Amino acid sequence: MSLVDSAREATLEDVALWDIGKRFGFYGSIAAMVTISMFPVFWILLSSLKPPSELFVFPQEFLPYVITIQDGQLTVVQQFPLTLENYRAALQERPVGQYLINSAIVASGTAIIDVVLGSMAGYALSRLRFPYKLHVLLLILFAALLPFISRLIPLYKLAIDLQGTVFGPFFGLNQYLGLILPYAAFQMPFAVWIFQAYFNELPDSLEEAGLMDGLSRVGVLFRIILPVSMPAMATTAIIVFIYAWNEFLFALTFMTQDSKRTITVGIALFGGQFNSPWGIITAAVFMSLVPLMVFMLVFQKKIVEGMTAGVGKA
Amino acid sequence: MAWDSSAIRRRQIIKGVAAGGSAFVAGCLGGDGDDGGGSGSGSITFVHISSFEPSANDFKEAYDSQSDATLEVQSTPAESSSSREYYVNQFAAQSSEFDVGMMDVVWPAEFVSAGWASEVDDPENHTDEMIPTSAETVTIDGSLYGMPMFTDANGLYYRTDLLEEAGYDEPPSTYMELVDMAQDIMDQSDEDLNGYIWQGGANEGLTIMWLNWLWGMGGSVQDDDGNLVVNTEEGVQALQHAVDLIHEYEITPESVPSSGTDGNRQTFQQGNTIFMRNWPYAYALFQDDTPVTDKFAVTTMPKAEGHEDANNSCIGGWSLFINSFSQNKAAAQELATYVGTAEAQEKLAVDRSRLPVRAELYEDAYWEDSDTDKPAFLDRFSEILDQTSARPAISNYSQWSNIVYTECNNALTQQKSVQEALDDAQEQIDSDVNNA
Amino acid sequence: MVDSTTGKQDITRIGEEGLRGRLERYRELRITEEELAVVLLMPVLAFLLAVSFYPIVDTIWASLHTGYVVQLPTQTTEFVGIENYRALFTDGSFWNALGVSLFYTFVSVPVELVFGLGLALLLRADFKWKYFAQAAILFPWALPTVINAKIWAWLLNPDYGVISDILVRVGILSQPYPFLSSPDVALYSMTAITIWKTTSFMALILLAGLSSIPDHLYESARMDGASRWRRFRDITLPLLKPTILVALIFRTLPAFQAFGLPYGLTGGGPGEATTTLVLYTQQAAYNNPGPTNGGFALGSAAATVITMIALVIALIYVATLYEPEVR
Repeated sequence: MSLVDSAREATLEDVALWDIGKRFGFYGSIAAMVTISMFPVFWILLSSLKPPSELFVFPQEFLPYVITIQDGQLTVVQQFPLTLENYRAALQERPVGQYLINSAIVASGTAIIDVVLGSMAGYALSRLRFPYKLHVLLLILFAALLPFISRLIPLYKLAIDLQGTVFGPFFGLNQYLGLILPYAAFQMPFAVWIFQAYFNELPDSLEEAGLMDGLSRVGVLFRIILPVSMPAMATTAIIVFIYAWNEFLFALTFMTQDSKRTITVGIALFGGQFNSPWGIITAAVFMSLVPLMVFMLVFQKKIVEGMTAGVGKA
Repeated sequence: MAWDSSAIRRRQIIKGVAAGGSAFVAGCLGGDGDDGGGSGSGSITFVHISSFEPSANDFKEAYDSQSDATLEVQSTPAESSSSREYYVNQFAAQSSEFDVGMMDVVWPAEFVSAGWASEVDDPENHTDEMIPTSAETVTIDGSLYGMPMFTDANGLYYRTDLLEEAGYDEPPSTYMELVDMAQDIMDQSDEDLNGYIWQGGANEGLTIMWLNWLWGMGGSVQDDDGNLVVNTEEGVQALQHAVDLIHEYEITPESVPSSGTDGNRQTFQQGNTIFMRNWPYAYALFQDDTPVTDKFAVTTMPKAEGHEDANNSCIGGWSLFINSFSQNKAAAQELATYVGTAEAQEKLAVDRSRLPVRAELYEDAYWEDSDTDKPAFLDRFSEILDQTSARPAISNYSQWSNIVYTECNNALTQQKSVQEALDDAQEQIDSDVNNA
Repeated sequence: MVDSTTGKQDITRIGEEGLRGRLERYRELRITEEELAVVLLMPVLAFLLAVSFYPIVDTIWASLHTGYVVQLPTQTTEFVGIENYRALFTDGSFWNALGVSLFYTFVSVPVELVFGLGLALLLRADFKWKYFAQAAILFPWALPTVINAKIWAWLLNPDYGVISDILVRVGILSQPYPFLSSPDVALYSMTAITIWKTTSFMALILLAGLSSIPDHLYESARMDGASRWRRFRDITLPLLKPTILVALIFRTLPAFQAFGLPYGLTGGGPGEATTTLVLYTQQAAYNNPGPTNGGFALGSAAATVITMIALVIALIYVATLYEPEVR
């Protein structure tokens, strides 16, 4: 479906001028939204490429080069020199690459747990008959209500208490699982919700056909339901992944070794007690944003599709 | 041991559950007995703010070569306040994850009364050699709870060139001199100059600013009974002066109530500011090729008329403390003793541009025997260090300061009158701090 | 929707069977719906019990005691009943924070809803470079909150902020404006930033709802000569209602528990103008954490109150939302 032939808008569609105006307005709005959304990122990139003396000036320079007409000739005037010095300094000061790898491990692990457990619970809540169903759903939702910071100390104490026990390697300090498990739990209500909404939309005939064919309930789940729930899995995975990638407070407290820190915490370590070297910080911030931008570009279609399938008619 | 039984019970229940579940987990997951290699007797961990990392690595090198134990270093975020939150989480969990930590000058009373910092020995009597205020900040009821590492004291930065052009040979020494001078220079200049910038944002910096003015008026925040009183005559005058700088004399820009330490430093560094209150770190940063390099100087804080002798620079700095929950206090003590030595102090001053706490390092005589030259900034700040006062040493300092800077900020942005703001602050202090 | 009560009874209602029969059945992977539900839900519930409900219970417990969270080795925990709640409710800062959070939530969420709906309507069309545009527009939502706060603190810097710069260039301002210095403007700025960040997420959910509305409804409406506005009002809005409610719940709860943005952007200032409820809770706890000072007890009480308010909000939503399937 293209914009113009969109069968829903008909009244004035055959008037060409109106059409052009509409197109113009449409692309104009999209361009405006893209600009507003991405401008801060552009600005961070630009700031990171400026030498320190150019950062704290007013008015600010927007472009490193401008083209002017001087004596009838086009000349390119450099407004400020571009430098990669900030990137060099950031990479030298902190193991940014290691931080990014840690973030990727933690975020992927969290996504996997939530997809597996969330789909199981979502399936039960949506398609199986059992008593107290609403109560269970509410109970799961209730788990999302305690403010995040209030969970920190109880869980941190728990982690300390578990050190040295068999659970130490699973829920301990400086263990990837020590972050993955709490993150997975915090996002679980969301995951369960997405899946149960998605499964609500599947026609009942799917299972009935399976049961008629002699498949067991378990067989139906694995052979029929799981294969068609890819969109909901993708949505859940992406949303949970981004959440885990972004979390700060737990990552700060549970990972004390530099080699285990995530990127959001790593950024907070730049700077002195008093001074914030904005050039280096913006360089580090930009490096942390690149994987996210690639991720969004690759998966945005999946996000939208999965969302459509997942909460479409909740 | 007098541990609270319910806490122990809770822990035991948790451990019990853990043990009970272990067979299950081992069965399911194949079991991995590695508990992360708990710190053996031969290793201690030092937690520092991230900007202290170079010095921490210096310590590690020296410590590992001198001691049987080894030192591991870990950093917390750059900012003091988030580092404190990090420590509180550790203490709340009674964690022995680290053995030695860095303690801001305002934390000792809290850490000690909470039982988080243990007593530190000073077998080589380093503290006798130290600047008295620095040693006092870590001494509570006659016992030592930290080994001072480096100090800080704020001064008045000013532009020598701008003052000279306008015909002034000397920096201002009183509050009103500063106002007159700034107004005069601003009038004479064609440029759009900032007169005086300081830390007005709602954070610790503003509490210190207010104390600077208050001390300079001969005031104090602690009454004879040790209660904290902020709405005294001097307290009101100090805050009124701050408000007037913005709204009456108009030498302080209106953005100051949201500005912080480093924002001020950057603004001054651009070259359009006459006066700035700041810490010594700015001095070092202004040395490398900036618009103000060679055009500025630092002096002692101005004082109110008639109080020329007031000590109104605020002392900052960090000391090293030993975690009460540490399981290797002997090895931790070795590090504490080391940071007080002249060797460690000299390295901090020469290589890392920190203000040392050993008084001898400010004397020329010390450097005659040394291989290195005396760092120039030591002379700049020795006079300022003679005029320091310390913030109240109370266990709930953070809360007190939070009340003070929040209400002062309300007055700066003219949400409340000065009297109203400080009366409101006093009400909260009486109920939350003095009676606690 | 097909009525689902048919055709399923044969296997699920086996009823009276002995242990042996049951084992037999399990071996063939033939289990009842209820049993399957238990098997599927147990992992989630056990997991939530350990990682989510334990902290909730711990927090409620802490709010009724002193000396619980943080303790001296020699100290005992003392039950104080509702004392911490009394302290909380007599603290002016708590009520201020409640006001800030309510403003922040109930201004940002409706504005996001309106903008998000507009954006969703735009993104429904196919066009060149759609995937780039979509990725770009969704990007603010993926930004880490702490980094987002840092970025905006830089953009809004009172002296060198580019937002001031642009407004000066456009002629709206004559000199840089300190957005975060004036209490009202700071709160508006913070609210605007959150709208900037999460409108696209709102749009995403609404887009999903839009595409589930069958096209034939619009067509027949157009046949009847309904205007564009009427089609929007009579078809789009009513059919989008359930999706709107989902969008509201997923935005209202996080907005009500906002912490990272004010923490990183303003620290709650100027004064307490941007101190949200959760930031207040954090400050109450950490400014005064000592075992005898009770900051954590107060903070726990505040956290419990926030949980209860969130529960009320969630229950209202669920009561409106949840339609139990008739199976």
